[in-house]
Amino acid sequence: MTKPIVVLAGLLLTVLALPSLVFAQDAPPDSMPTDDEVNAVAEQLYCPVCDNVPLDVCPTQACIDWREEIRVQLADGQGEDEIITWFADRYGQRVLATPEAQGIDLALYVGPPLAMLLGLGILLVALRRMAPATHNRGVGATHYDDLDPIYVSRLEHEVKEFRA
Amino acid sequence: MDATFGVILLLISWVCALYGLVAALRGAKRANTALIESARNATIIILPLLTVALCLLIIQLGTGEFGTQYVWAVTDRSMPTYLKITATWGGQQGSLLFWAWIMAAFNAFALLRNWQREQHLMPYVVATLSGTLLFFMTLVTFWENPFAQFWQSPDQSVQIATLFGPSAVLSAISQPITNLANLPGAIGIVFDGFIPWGAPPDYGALTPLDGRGLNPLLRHPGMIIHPPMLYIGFVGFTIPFAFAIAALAAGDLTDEWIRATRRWTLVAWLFLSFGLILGGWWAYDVLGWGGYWGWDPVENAAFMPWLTGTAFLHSVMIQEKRGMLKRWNMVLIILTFLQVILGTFATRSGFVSSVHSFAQSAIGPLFFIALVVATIVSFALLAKRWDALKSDQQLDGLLSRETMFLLNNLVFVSLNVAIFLYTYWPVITEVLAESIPTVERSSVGPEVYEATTAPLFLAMLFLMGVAPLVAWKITRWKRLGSAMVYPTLAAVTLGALIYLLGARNPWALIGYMVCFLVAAVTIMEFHRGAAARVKAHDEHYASALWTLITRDRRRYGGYMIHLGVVIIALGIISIETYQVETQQALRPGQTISLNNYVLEYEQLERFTATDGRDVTQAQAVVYRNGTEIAQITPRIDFHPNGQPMSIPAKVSNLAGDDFYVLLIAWELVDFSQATFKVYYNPLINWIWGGGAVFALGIIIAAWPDFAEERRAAVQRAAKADTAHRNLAGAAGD
Repeated sequence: MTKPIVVLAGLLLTVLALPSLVFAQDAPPDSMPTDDEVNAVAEQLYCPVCDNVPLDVCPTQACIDWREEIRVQLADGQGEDEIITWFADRYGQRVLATPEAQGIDLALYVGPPLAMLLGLGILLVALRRMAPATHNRGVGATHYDDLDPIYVSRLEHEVKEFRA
Repeated sequence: MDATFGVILLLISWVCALYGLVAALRGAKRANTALIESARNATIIILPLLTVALCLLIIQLGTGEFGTQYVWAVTDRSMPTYLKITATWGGQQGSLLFWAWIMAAFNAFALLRNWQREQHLMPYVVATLSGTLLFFMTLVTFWENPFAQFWQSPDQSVQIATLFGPSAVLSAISQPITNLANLPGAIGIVFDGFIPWGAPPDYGALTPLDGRGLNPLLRHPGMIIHPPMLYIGFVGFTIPFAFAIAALAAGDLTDEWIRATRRWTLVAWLFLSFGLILGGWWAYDVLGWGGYWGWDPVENAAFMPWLTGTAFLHSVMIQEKRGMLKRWNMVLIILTFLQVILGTFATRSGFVSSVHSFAQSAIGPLFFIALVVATIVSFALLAKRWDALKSDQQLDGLLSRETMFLLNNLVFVSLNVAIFLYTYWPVITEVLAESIPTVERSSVGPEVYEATTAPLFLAMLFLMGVAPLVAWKITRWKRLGSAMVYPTLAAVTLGALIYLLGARNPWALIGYMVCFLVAAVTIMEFHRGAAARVKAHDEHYASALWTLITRDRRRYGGYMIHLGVVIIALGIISIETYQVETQQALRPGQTISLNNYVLEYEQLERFTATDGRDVTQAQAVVYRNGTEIAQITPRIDFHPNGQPMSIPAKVSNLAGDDFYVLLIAWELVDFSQATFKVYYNPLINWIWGGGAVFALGIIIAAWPDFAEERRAAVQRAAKADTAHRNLAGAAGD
């Protein structure tokens, strides 16, 4: 009879102590990483479940678990880069919000500037083609320097029309 | 009302669209005016047909006809009436019908308005508009029919079918429900004995007792207005595209098509812009992550056509004024239209999430085919007329308004290229990973987007500041330099003032100064025009300013748009560089301090709302500089059929900053502790205010000049009369 009473008392004590136990889990001691430290790492990772949702703001249970994993690793003394690498090794490159500039992902960093330069090159060629022939040869500009450019433009246009 | 009536209306509309396309093309080939007019009438008649169909759907949603699968999917009995109505665009099928209806409306009004003026283009305009609508009608009628109903077979399996006809049709257009657990009220199946069109007599209609309800995320006012705005914007760009294609097909390579569609383009651009801003407001208010733009693929899909559309709006001015860039303008409007289709395809097929969801989607392959056909037809026509689209004029000088607009185009297109690459990168890498073992699927986060786009946005702002000071044809550097002196001084002075006030981020300071430069140039342009009128006409300054704006709406509406962009940019720069946040767990009475704000947590409460939501709500007090300014209640809603939603609480100040509080978590047993995430969002409200100024600018620019239109109509009539007399005279000779 004694044994059930002890078990019952133990259970009762456990239930009574539960709030403080939960609280003890939720309020980490000073040495534990803060939420801000956890989020600083989490915002560099993507949610494993939802597409395009950064880990620091995702409300799913999977993300809550991942954030706890980050907290544990920070408490173990791991650095930001080490934790991010750990996640990338374990779950793949897709968890990284900022892919590394290597392999095929290099295109993300090189592609847009190259496209912009290409566009600039096309624009310059187009401008050169659209410019009057005299400008292309670099003759007209020196000739007409002292004249009003609008007047010169109109004159050129009229001469061209006259020739046509 | 009966859903079958809706199906019949959709079928008739589909036939009309098909007839419009075929008759217009045949009419154009044979120069048969009667056939072309018949095609036009068939295209116009779709509007009343779809209006009735849409009203029917709204009535079904409002009255809770849950036998219709769409009504069951997006409504439930507890939803308020206004949400039942807006649920029209709350799901795939309804939004596609709504989309088709908007397109039918645009088509009908564009054809009626432009029929007399651009008759030679009309056969091809009708064909393009009918062809585009035919595609959407095909989706709505045969694949995503909003009037599809639940049916139950003798073996108790449930099917969704549009028309319960011959079994061959049934299998082609229906999909079985495998998981009956998703069908609340399935126990309360009722048979209403309605067996249309030769259906097997042992099949019966099925009406669930209640619906599944609207996605909780879509119950926000921003999301109620945001989709129609975006749809109108998207669909609106079909009109200039149709006229461009018609110009190419008819060989009329003047700028007539641009003049005919200028206002349509502005209207499309207005709604697309407004839709994007509303989308940002919704994200900020509902998604609960403290931001307004997350570079989400769905956001980007709407932003990309806006970029090419904006470039188009600028570069058409060069064609109108100088007869240049005819090829480029064609390219831009084609790209804008294709990106509308691509964006719709990518977001509706699930393609941006995963290439595999595209394959699983019923409409994904159809969109893909439409995209390929539109691309081939558009560029084939462009190639055919390439030589004839040569510019009439030459560039007079490198420093000219034309060059400024070309640089502006370069910036917009570069932004488009970068955003396109980043948006579709996960899909590209996913496809490559299947054949190349070393490649892995990658994600692209906001940091990558921002690093690339921020300098381009800055360049765009700078061009907005310089371009108004550069004249058409040619400007001397010296003249530009002297025109820039005062605006630059104003920008530097204000920049220095901001620095003294504490702004130290160099990128933010550069951004602010460029914004001030644009604002100074724009305000000076208004002032210069008004001052000239005061001098010339001895008017009051305010009256001169009003006359100035109303006389040249396009120009000053454009400047107003620039001012709106500056206000938005100031908000974006501020929040991107000076937003601060913290997350902490608090017990009652404890506080979080952030800048000059303090949040004090009081208590937590849980209750069930009248619409069935389980709400967990925190009560807290906000202090600014030690003074209590607000009681707030951030909360998390648990909808029965959705993910938990974190609803933020905000406190704004007069400067437009927000103190933004989210309830993140709480101690489960006795609520003795709650975790809050708190943001200080400087000048965030400037984004919404700037959006209003921006929209006002577009309305001014697009507002019709009735007197001018009357004059043009009289001139056209006189011209037609003269031509008629000459013809009669020639016949008499």
